[in-house]
Amino acid sequence: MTCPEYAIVAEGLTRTYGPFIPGSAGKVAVDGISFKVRKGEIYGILGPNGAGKTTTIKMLSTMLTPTSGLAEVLGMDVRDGKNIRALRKRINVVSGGERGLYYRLSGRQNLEFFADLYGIPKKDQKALIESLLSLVELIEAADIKVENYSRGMKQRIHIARSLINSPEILFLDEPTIGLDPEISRGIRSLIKKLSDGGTTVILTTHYMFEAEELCDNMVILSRGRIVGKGTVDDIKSSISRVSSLKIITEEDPSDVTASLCRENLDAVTSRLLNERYLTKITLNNADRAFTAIEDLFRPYAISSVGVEEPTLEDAYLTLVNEGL
Amino acid sequence: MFAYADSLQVIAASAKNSFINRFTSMHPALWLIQLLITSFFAMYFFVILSEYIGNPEITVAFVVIGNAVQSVAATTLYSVAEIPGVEKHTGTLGAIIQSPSSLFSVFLGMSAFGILTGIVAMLMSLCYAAFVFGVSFASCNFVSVGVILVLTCLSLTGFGMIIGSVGIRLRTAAIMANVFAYIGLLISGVNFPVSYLPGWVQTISHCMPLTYAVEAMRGAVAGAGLISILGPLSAMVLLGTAFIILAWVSFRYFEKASRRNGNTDSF
Amino acid sequence: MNPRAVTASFKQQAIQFMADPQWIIPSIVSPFLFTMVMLYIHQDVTGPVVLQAVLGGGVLGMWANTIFASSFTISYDRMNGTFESMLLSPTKIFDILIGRSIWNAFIGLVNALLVFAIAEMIFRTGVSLANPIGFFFILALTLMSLASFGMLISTAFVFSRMGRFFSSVAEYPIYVISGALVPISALPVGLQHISYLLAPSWGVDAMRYAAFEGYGSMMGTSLLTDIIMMVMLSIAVLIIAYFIMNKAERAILSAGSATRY
Repeated sequence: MTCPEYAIVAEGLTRTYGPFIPGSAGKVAVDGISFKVRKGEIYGILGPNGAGKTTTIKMLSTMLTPTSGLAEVLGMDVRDGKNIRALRKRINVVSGGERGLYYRLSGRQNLEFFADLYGIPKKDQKALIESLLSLVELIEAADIKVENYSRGMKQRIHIARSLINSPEILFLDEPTIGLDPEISRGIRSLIKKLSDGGTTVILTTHYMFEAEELCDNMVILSRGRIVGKGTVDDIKSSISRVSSLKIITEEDPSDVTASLCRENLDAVTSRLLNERYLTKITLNNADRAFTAIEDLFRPYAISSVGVEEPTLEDAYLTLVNEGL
Repeated sequence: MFAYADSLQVIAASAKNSFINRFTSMHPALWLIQLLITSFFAMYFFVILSEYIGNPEITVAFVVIGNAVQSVAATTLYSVAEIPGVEKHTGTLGAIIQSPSSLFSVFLGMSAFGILTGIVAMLMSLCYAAFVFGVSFASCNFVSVGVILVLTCLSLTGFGMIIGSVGIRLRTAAIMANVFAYIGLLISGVNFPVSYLPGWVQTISHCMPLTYAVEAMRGAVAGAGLISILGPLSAMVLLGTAFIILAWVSFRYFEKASRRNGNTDSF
Repeated sequence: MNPRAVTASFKQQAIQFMADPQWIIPSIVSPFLFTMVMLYIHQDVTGPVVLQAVLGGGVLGMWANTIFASSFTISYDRMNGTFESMLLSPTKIFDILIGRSIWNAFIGLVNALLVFAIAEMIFRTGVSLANPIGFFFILALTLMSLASFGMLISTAFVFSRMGRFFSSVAEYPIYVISGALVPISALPVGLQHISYLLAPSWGVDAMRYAAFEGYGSMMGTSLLTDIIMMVMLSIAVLIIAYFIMNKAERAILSAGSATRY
């Protein structure tokens, strides 16, 4: 079962919370999910709030025992208590938010403390911490107490802390939540840099552009189940290739629009400010060739034609809603 | 005892963390003032109480020495026991569990501040005993006093850690610590002889290291050497060791339980 | 005063209080233990002795509750991040604190009764009060004087975030000078003067008048003097608290220190 090619292999991974009587049915947070993460890739876990993203990360990062199913991380079974210490030395986690730091310690003191908890030899610590501080651009603020940090600085020191053991797998739970665009971009480029350096990154996010920009592969969770899986393109094309056609005409094409609607196509015409008419037609698959539709509008003096492919967000929303 | 070669590094780092953390939230001078005031008034309160009641069996020296030892219970026990709960509150417990070091080592190290507080509180209290309340230390055996001081702190640290480990799971650890710290006033012979208590309470008294510490300290101040207080001293060593082992087991248990329940960050 | 804000904060404090059992220590456990310690030192446990110890323990519990609850109330809001929202609301912080202090005083009464009930269960001495109605009237007044004292403490913590330091430092000194377990007359003269400045000290003396048959005041005053002193000192404390609060609200806005703790 051990595949050196994969950093993570999850099969039928399930987690149930409470109630307090074992064996009785509780809330199923993660319901039999299976996926594989290749070494060195950035793998996205997407889904609405409460879909089971954090629970999945907790299970994979040894913080929560799965109720059933299998999870191998770096070739080790996370359910086996004997593997936990060894595994913890090789992975790390960043949870979004402002908690989880010693506010009354400086950024550097926070890092020093965790360096010791990860058993980093004293002689290596100074250089390591210096390089991490420079990586997250906190050299100047290193000796200021964390309570005086901005939210972005706190998040960057979180990330520096998580890199203290040069983890082979880094779990990032919504790393850019609530941060300004510039800092978010900085964090995204840092994630790419880590991935280029061979670190496997597991990323949860609510920002589709972030997932699109970063993730090699991803799963979309809804109510604890996988509703979409694959590359960004796989996921986009999995929603039956819904596209929309936009045609702008000089004259009112309402007759054609009405006849299209009778054919059960989703078509709407609206009048634009510049005295032209915009018609939007949603097409499933190749319901009808674009050119054939275009021909219908020709008599109304077409000034432009455009096709809109679905975005990841469209696909995400469709999949998640289907999953409900 | 320690399963990991790096435990000493972890303990030292955690001790350092506890000092920086506490001394940046409270200036060391303020911390000393707090200890000076609380150790004096805690002692003074019981002195005037017993003087007012006027039980001939209970002398000022009896109450003063009892409360000097009790000051360790009031400080060390509480500050050691509250640590896991505080870590949970700041949200750092998760990051600590996530690391490969054992919770026991981390929290043992973090107890350093509480241990220091206990030592300082007891030394201050003994000074008050000598210079304010006129207890004679002329025949005092200072070696015995030193040994008692160390053993008291260690056994109460172990006890505090057991209570503290519950704080990984429950919010009530700090309350339990406080209850135990106060109960010491009643059942450990701090303010009146243990023999005044009902038989079944006395049995509990003899499971508390504080009872032996108080007894040994009264002996040491009167001049008893290590040999003559060997009884209470060995009881303290025994109880202290048992507590530390139990604390280790308890941390292991709650560490595992937190994986089963995933409740490291609710508080 | 804004009655609606007072009621709302009374209710909020009540819910908060029930959800966090931390209060059991200063309010119930420690006064109960002090009562027991006193009785054990006494050995000769008769009705009046029990009454004195229980009365003392109960008052200590009321005091402890006032100090702990009042010094934590604002610190807790700072920690929760709700202090800023409180400042932002059109309600005066003073009104919010009135509601909370009344709740704290009310709980003080519950503490006193609990200590009384537990001790009575253990010693079964059939304690009786000389003048029960008068006693409860004075008890209520004493609670109000504690509430006003609590207001003073709370307002101080609008300025400062050292609630914990204060409550731990103040605990035993207050036990000593409150005159609850040990009468004020048994204290050194210097401390007696401080006791006279605290409204609840007069309340304790007044309660003893109502509790014991033929009580000779430990403060050397008549029952009426005790009551007048208590009421006047309470009003004075409230006025001081009000002025401190107005200053504090302005100070905190100019310092921008509401979110730190």
